[in-house]
Amino acid sequence: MLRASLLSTGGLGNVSGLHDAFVPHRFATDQMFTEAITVGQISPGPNGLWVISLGYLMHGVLGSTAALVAIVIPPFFVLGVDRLYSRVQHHPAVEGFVRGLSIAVIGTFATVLIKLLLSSGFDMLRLGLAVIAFALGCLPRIPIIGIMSLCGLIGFLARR
Amino acid sequence: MVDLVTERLDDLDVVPSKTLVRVWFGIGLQSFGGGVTTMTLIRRSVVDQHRWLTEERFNRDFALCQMTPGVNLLALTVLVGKQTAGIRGMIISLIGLLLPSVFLTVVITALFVSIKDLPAVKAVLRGVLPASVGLGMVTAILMAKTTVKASLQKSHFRIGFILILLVTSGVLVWTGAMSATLILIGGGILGAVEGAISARMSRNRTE
Repeated sequence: MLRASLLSTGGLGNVSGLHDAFVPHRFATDQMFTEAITVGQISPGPNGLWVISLGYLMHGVLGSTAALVAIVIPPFFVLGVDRLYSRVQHHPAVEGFVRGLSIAVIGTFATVLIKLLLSSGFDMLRLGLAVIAFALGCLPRIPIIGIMSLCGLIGFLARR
Repeated sequence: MVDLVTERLDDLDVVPSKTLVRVWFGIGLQSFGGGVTTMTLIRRSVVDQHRWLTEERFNRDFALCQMTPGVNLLALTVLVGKQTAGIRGMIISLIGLLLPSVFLTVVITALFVSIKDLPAVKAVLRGVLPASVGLGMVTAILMAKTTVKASLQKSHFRIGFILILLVTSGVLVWTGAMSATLILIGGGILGAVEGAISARMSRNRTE
């Protein structure tokens, strides 16, 4: 798990690596993967915590603890990146690199969001809720958990 | 010229542990709906509410986290934690975030098999996912605004470049023509080229 985390970036980057490492050896099943990834999206915290879920499905609390250790170690590398960057950041090309990267991140992020919305089935309710959440989200005083709860409630009430 | 990257809004050197625990635990507890919500919560707390970092700094940190191995948001937590209160801040922020979220993840996993098919649960999820998308969009726009604002002081060329890059990266990811990693690296390289060109252009102008 440590190896897969080190070799990937982002919360779901390690999926294929882990899949290839575990499933052929019957340490985990495909179903475990699907469930873990879904739980990762529902439960609080970054999506990356899905491996904790997988660890639990594979090996109980011990498994989830091992997964936790595996995902906590790689992020510390950012300190090295930060230090390195601090030394070179004033060079216009370096600044430009980070700026270009940030913009690409935002562009891909926004598009992935839209894809996510459409992937679970497109209907007016989902679109409406996204718009409501967007509008409320623009008002900094409204707590995010309130917006999420409201939308969850609307989803619940609309199920008929 | 103010060095935006090292500037911090308040002149505080150190954030008390109690505050860190409270803030990060809150984030860890509330961020249902995946990393998007977590990211939104982090930005709101760190930039808007507590002003521990400037918008520019946050964007820069977030960009660096894309380039490091592992979960981006955990790297962000480590980085922000260190910037707010050194090593202590790093550890406390990470633990604060992970304690509730890991615990709840394990609990939800354990319960998942029994609750996942309940129509009520499905219905709530139907509401929560679009909400996190809407909120994510707000964050994306806020972050883009920061970069555009900074570039307004520079040149129209840069703003045009930013808009084109924004749209292009979105289209590329939408069509699946390129992997996300390649798009990011490509964006970075193009940005580096643009940065070098702009610097040369402004040097020529002042000569």
